[in-house]
Amino acid sequence: MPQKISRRELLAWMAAGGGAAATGGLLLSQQDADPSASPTRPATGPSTATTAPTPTTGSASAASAATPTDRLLVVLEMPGGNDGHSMVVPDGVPGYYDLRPQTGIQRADVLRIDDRVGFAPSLPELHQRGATIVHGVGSTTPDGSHFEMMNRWWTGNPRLADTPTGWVGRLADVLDDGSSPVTAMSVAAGGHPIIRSAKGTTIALPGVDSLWTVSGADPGDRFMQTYQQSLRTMTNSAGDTGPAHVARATMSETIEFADQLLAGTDREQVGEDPGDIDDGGYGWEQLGQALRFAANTFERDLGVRVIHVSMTGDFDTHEGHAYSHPELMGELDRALASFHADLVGKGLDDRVAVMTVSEFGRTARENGSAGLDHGTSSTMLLEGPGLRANHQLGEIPSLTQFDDNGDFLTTVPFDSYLAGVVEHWLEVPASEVFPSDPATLDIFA
Amino acid sequence: MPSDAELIVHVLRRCTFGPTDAQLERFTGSRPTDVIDALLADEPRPAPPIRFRGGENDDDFDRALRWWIDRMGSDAGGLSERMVWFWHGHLTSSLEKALPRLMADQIHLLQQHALGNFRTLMQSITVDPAMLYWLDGSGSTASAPNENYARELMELFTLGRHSGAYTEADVEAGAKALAGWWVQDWDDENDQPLDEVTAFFEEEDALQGSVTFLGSRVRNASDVVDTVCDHPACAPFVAGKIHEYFVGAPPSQARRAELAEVFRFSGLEIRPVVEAVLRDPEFLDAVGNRPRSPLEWYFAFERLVQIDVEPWILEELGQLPMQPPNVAGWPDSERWLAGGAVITKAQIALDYSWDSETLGAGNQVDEVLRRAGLIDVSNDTRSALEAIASDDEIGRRERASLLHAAVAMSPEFNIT
Repeated sequence: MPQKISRRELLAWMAAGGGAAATGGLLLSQQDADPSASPTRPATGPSTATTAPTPTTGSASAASAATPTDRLLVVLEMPGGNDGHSMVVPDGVPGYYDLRPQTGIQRADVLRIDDRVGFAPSLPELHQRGATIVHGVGSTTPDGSHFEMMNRWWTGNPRLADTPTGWVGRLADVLDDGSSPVTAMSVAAGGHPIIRSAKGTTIALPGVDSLWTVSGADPGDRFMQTYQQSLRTMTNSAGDTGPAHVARATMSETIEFADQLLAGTDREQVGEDPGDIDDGGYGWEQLGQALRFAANTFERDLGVRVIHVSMTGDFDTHEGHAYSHPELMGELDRALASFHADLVGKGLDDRVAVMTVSEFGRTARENGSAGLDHGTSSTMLLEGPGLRANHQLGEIPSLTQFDDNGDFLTTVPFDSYLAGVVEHWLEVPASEVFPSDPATLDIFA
Repeated sequence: MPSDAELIVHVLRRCTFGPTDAQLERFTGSRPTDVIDALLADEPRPAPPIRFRGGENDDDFDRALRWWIDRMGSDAGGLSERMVWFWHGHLTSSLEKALPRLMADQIHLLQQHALGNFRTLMQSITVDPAMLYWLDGSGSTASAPNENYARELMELFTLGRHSGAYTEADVEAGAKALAGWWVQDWDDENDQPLDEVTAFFEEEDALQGSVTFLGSRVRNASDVVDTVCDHPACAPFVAGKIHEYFVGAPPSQARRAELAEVFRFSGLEIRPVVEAVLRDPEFLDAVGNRPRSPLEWYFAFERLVQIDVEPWILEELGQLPMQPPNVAGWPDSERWLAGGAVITKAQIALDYSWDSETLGAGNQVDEVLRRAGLIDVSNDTRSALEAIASDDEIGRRERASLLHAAVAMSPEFNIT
């Protein structure tokens, strides 16, 4: 039985010059990963790889039962630019109602945290469980373009230039210990820049349902059995070398991962009535089902440490903000509540932290369409072991003094926020993942 | 060592969106270099533009998409349409900010200049309405210029980020000189959208006098474009991209310099560079050296199943024409082999295979491989197909369907 070459071995072989002429094109991923752009360990001085980090006050290691290598992370993206002040409402801060005559939330409806801020009324479950709140997260050189800002957030690089990998991809490369084909996953249909990695340790999959196409066919379903067997036969051997083999190896790894994910699970019974399908306790909203997939993946213990999910709801509320935003918050609240309950049921709640990301906040003042345009800093949420309930980090940006464009100032640079989670929760030194080598936000402070 | 037949298929795959049956018939018995000659010599029948009337409609994009896909997949487009696709991924604009009718007009502009003169192409596209919207040129005034186009013009379109050719001061200066252009898409008099959208120049918003840009004095957009085209970094950068597009890997420094010479010597004519790329041995050596892009997979898949395949699947596959993910164009090719792509294709392959054209009475594996345009496949792929063909426990239609789906998923079908 010929031995299978993993995709990573093959990429390494090609990078070393194997089959250069014929496979030159597929080296692009290696060539593009410009070593001068990616973070490297310091040439001198002690390696930080195996040295235990100095304990900080309120660190996760004290509060959480999980050892660093057991810790898992969910990166929850709110694309379009989430208005932080509609999520954590600064109704007790002078200036709020002046800025938001139509979109402001009534004081009586705010779910109190302290006398300055509270949660939006659509976040009751989160309010009750408690989350750590990070105020004023954004770029110190803000840009109003979705593309520009999303790229900065995905690459984890404020200067963006020449970063062919995503921060979750680089994190996966660092966390990878060779024991698993996939260290980070994005719940997405066709790949996501945030997980682009140099070592190929990440995968994007749309959801568990789609995996049944390639794995786990019913024994009685001869048609699908034959199809799935053919996919395995075609990706079987390491016989030839060359570019077709990369296609083969990738497909093989994907199928292998699908097999592991689905092994021992029952495909939902699809009855006459669509209501027969089991929603896993999450309901049928998109974010809930994505987090369900994440919980199931973590439960399988396949070596996946980081999962990125993105809400399909649109946070780009240029108009009708007061109608759209509460809906988005409601979906967020329900999904996170279901996720938490599921993790508790699976005995994973002491291992998983959730962090939100969004490329920017919204304008301080409303526009003429009762909406909010592209802004700068926004509020982020963290939930997980050791993270203090309804505790606030960073500073609420001033509601009366703004930047030159009349937008909110940034009090926590976004790379410090990302690095703070990576370093303090996952205990990976920030410099190994973030080219800007930012000061890290102590998320347990 | 690839056979002549394989090389001919390679040439047609890289230089057109084929191979189509008509192409294969035309070139039976030819040598690969004959095919290159013929494709270079072909003058494509001009692409008829698509017209939109009476305000924005929900199905405008659907019409534009089908118009373009039809053109690309037809025998009429040839090498020219292949270059249109290159320019669309290089001089990007997107539906994200430009209406379908404007994007369609821009594609039509690319169709007219694809193998023509690069300087003319750059002059035209700089003031193209879709581009003016996409990179915020429309409404940019000299007193408060938007820097987006000036930056991307140099960084992505002509000189390259690594060239060290330009500074922030050049971006600023370029932006000033480019200012003063607006898109006219509204009929103020009748208060309705215009059917014909054009760009116009407003003197009072433009730069007065001149500025220094890349070491030259420039007064307007035309000067800016001339200056970047004349910059020593431009010819190697653009010629290198054309090489990479056809060969599947960037050229060596020496080769890049050679191609730049060809480009400059011809007065920045595009066709001679394409010819130099195609006639170089590296091109014929490049058989199967890169993943198939979703667009290529789409056309090949449609030929495989011999029924109409909905072009909207390109959205699922991550390559919807007129909507590149960002200003840098399409992502690096290894993304096309990613896990999610495997899963997505596995379903699409099944969905369409059920209605695929019936196989004949002969060897079904050979027939389906012929439809797939695959001449030589691995033992594993062949075994997989033979296992299906000889499976008695499934029906005839099921067997045929699975043969089509399996070959679409084969590693060989997913590279080119």
